[in-house]
This record gives sequence, structure tokens and C-alpha cells, in this order.
Amino acid sequence: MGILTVIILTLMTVATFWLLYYSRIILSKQLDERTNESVKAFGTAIELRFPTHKGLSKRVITLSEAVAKQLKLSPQQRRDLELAGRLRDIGLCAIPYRLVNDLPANEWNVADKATYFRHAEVSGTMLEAIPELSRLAPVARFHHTRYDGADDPTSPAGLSLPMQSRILKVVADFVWYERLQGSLIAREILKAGRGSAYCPLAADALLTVLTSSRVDQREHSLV
Amino acid sequence: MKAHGRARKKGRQPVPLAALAPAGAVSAALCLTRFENHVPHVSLLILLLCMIGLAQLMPVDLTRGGIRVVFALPYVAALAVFCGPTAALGGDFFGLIVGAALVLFNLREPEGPRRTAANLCISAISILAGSFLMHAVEAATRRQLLWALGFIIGYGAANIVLVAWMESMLNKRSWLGAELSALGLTGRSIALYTLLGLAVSSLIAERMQWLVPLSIIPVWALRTSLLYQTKLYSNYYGTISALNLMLQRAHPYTHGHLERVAETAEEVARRLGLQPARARLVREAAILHDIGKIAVDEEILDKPAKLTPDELEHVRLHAVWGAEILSPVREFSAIVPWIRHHHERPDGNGYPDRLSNAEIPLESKIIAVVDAFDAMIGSDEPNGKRSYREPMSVKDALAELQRCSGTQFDPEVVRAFRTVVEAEVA
Repeated sequence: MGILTVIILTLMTVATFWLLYYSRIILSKQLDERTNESVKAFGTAIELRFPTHKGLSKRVITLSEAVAKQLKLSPQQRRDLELAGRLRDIGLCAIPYRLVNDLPANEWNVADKATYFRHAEVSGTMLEAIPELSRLAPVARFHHTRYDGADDPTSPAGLSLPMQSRILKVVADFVWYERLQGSLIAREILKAGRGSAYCPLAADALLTVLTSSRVDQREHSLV
Repeated sequence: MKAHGRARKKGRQPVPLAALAPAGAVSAALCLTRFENHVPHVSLLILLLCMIGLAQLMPVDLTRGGIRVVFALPYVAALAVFCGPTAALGGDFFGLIVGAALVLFNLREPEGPRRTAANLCISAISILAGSFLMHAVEAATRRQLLWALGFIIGYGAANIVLVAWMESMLNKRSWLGAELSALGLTGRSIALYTLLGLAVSSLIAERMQWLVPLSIIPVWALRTSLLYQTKLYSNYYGTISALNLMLQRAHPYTHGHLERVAETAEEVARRLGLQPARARLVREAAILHDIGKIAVDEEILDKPAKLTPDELEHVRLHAVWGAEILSPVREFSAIVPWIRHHHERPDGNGYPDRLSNAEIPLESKIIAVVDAFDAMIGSDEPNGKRSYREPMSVKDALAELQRCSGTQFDPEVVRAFRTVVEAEVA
């Protein structure tokens, strides 16, 4: 074999290994970072529009992660759950500013509630338009859908709902009621809705997380 | 590389087949008659055709509705060197036929007959360019490796130029812009691709063609790298589209306005001598310049009466909020200050930071002028008119810009903008 051929083949082999390392490690990490940055931008936009939602997403994501671990979801499912948790409310941009900012949620009438909960559908439609995130569209679309399908007979129900949607429904409702009425009442609402509004698996997992872990407890000073 | 695309979008042009077809036919005829061909070894021919077919199974779509890369050149170059340009032409055409067959089995997105015809023409022209260069090298040296290098350079250069030209025609982009974006995405890969072509030819020259199928590993590595780069690219544009969509859902009147402002702002940036990449960035900033309005109460924004001082203050915060929304994204770091300052005025009476003329970025000044003009003239689209003002004629709006030139708007930008509008009207 000629020396030139040996040089070319050696260079080729080294370049191939380098390219695989560069793509699989460096570019893959970059892609994850960029996706997270974009998702943060969407979240900032919604929190600026509706300051009352500030902090809600963070709590929802922390609890959802704990529930996902409890349910032993795969790393990819957990990653999708985290992204969906951040993106589920981007449809809020279509909800009237004054409904959320000027009117307390406990004063909403049926029409107001219907208007507000349309954001899940809008989120789903918007995510469908983004190729990189379109797989999360069904999760966002059904994240407020009841487990028994009582609120909308045309939408899927029970185990037909994406697992991540069922988790987000349980967790987001809990966080919402926790903020409005306190942790104890929120737990009671969760228990009452088990099997009807909420997926029993997800509800049990959240109750386990809330009771057995210290996910919602502050670390007090020992001094 | 091949040009491909889905159904034609609004504003896109038909494939320029009238220009390509005669050139393609002449090139194919010259390839068949002008060069000497060798009787190919059947097993080598079958091996290289199989590799070309295999490469068709691993395409990468580089840009949205733009360029598709198929890694067949190393094998086409080997055909040219060891069998002659006619075999290379046949091999490249065979690849296109395999690609079309994959569409029939739903293994690939359809291109449409005009696209396929255009790609055949580009292929013929590229092979002619490669063959001419190979022929010139052949006259100077007996080293087949250098013949392969000559073919790869000639073919690759002609292919990149023609595909970028076609993409620029289809998407009404500048040729240089399309060229730079194609090279920017594939630049690192071109060196490795050339090396791969040389490796395939040298293996055959050393009578070690049984090792050629292993070249699919570097092809796979190249494909993986390009796929990730394409994902990064589409993540960037996906973010812009999603933010734009969010704003349109919050304030429907922005639909159409942002696209018009973006297109004109890019043109004005070019007139002012900004580099194509910078002008493209101005376009992207112009699309996102009002993103902070997501956080503005739509009832205030659509109010037909004069705003109270508090309401005015609330609306004016959109420039700060826009910068705040975009700041988590590193790729937007260049445009964040442009968006924050797109309501600053050369006389220092703008907001939010009351910057002086010298402190305001040129890009912000461009967006300010184009945005104000579009808001003044409105549009015929539903929701295209502002609730608080009747639309003005183009002439009156230009006069208004001129009147505010030097105080509210930068005079040089207003001048460049006038030339763009006058060229469009003419």
C-alpha cells in the first residue's frame, strides 16, 4: 500500500472518530442547551404577561420530576415531561390580559373558566407548528383534560391520554389549589378527584411524593 | 447536494428549469462525446452503483425547503476516474432514480417533477465541470488520486454554486446569502467529504475495493454531524417562529406587519452597506422587535382614544420586556440591544434609556423607521389597521418620515428607506 494511501486512510479514520465525538457529545449538548434557552424565553414571556403565574412553573416542574421518578418513567419521557411542563402554558398568550390579571380566579364564572382553559388547546396548536417540539403538542393539549373525560366527551380519556398530560394535570391542579387554598385543602381535592378528574396512578404518585419526600419542605436552620 | 422542497409557499418562485434545461442537455452531450471512457470492470461498477444507492438512503435536508445533501460524490468521483465521465453521469442519474423510487415507497419526501428535472440538469453540469478539471489534471500527472481530487473540486464547486443559485431564485434570497448559509453549515464537512472521496479512489487504485463498503462509516459520521447542525439551525428558527406566533395570538394586528417590516428592514440594511449576514440578523430582529407586547394589555394597545400617562408608560415598557424575553437565548445576544433601543430617538427623547444619537445602534434605527412607516400606512389585511389612526398614503407617510428626520429618525436611514420604497413603487 502506498504511503499516500496510508496517510489518507489514517486521516480519514481520525477525522471520523473526531466527527462522531463532536456530533454525539458537543453538538448534542449544545442542542439541549439551546432548547432549554428557547423554552426559558417562552416561559419569561408568559410570566411577564401574567405575573400571577410567576413561580408556578418552577413548582410544577419540581413536583412533576419527582412524580416521574416515582412512576419510573424513562429518561426520554422525563425530559419530555420537563419540556412540556415549561411549555404547557404558552397558549396563555391568547387569553385576555384582564381576565387573569384583574379578576381573581375564584371569581371567574363558567364562561371565564372556559376561556382560560382554552389555553391548553392553543398551546397544543402552537407546538404543532414547531417541528422540534411538535411531539409535545398532545401533552400540552390535554394537560387540563379530566381523566374520566367528563369535561369534553370528544377528547381522549383515561389511559388514552398521554402519561405526561396526566401527570401535569394532577401536579398543576395541586399547585394551583395549594396557592389559592393551602396545601391541606389541595391534598383533599386531589384525593377526592382520584379516578375521576385525576389519573389514579399519577395522583397516588404525587401523594406519595408529597408525604414521603421533603420536596415541599424548607430546610430550617439548626442553630 | 440537491435542491428539494415541499409544496410551494407564498412568495416562492417556480424552479428555474428554462435556464437549467439547455445547459444540462449540452453538458450531458459533452460528457458523452467529449471525453474518453474506459471499459469498466463489472464488479467495480456494481459496487460503486450499490454505494451510490446506499448513500441515497441517508440524505440530510439542510435548510427549510432548501438544500438536500446526499453523500454520493466520493463514489461518483471514483466512477469518473476509473470508468470515465459517461459512467459518472450514469451513476449520478442512477442515484436520482433510486431517490425517486424511495419516494414511491414513502421512504423520502417527494421533490416534484420540476425539482427532479432541475437536479438532473445540475448533476450533468457538475459532472461536466468535474470532468474538465479532471482532464486538465490528467494531462499533467499520471496519479489517479490527483485526478479524483480534480473531479471532486470541479464537481463540488459547480454543484454548490448551482444549488445555492437555485435556492436563491426559489426563495427570493440573495445568491451570496444562500451560498454563505450553505457553506456555513457544511464548511467543516466539505474537507472531510473531500478526504473521503480521495480515500475511496485510493482504495480502488490499490486494488482494495473490498474495503470500499467500510466508507459508509465516515458517511454516517458526516450525516450525524450535519443532522445535529441542521437541528440547531431549525431550533433557532423554530424559536423565532414560536415567539412570533405567541405575539400574533396576543395581538392579531401584528400578523403581516412583522413580516413586512422584517423584509423591508433587511433591504434597508443592505442599502446601508451592512454585510448579508448582518442584514439577515436585522430581519430576524425586526420580526421579534415587538415581542415585549406579549406582556401589554391588548385593551390598551387597541384603545381608540388617547392613552393616559399610566397607559403610555405600560405600553412603553414593551421595549424592555422584549429584551428580557429574548435574553435567555444566547443566539439572540446580538439583537437584544437592538430590540431594547428600537424606540430611542436621535434627539435623545426616546425610550427606555433616552440614548443619544451616537449611542443608538444602527440596526435599531433601521427597525424604528420601517416600523413607523408600516404602522402609518397600515395594510389591507384583516386587523391590518391600527385602531387609533386612519391609514396614510405612501406619499404622506414618506413626507412624515422626512419631517421627523433628524429628531425622531436617523436621516441616513430615512434616505436609504426612501430609495427602497421608491424602487418598490417603481
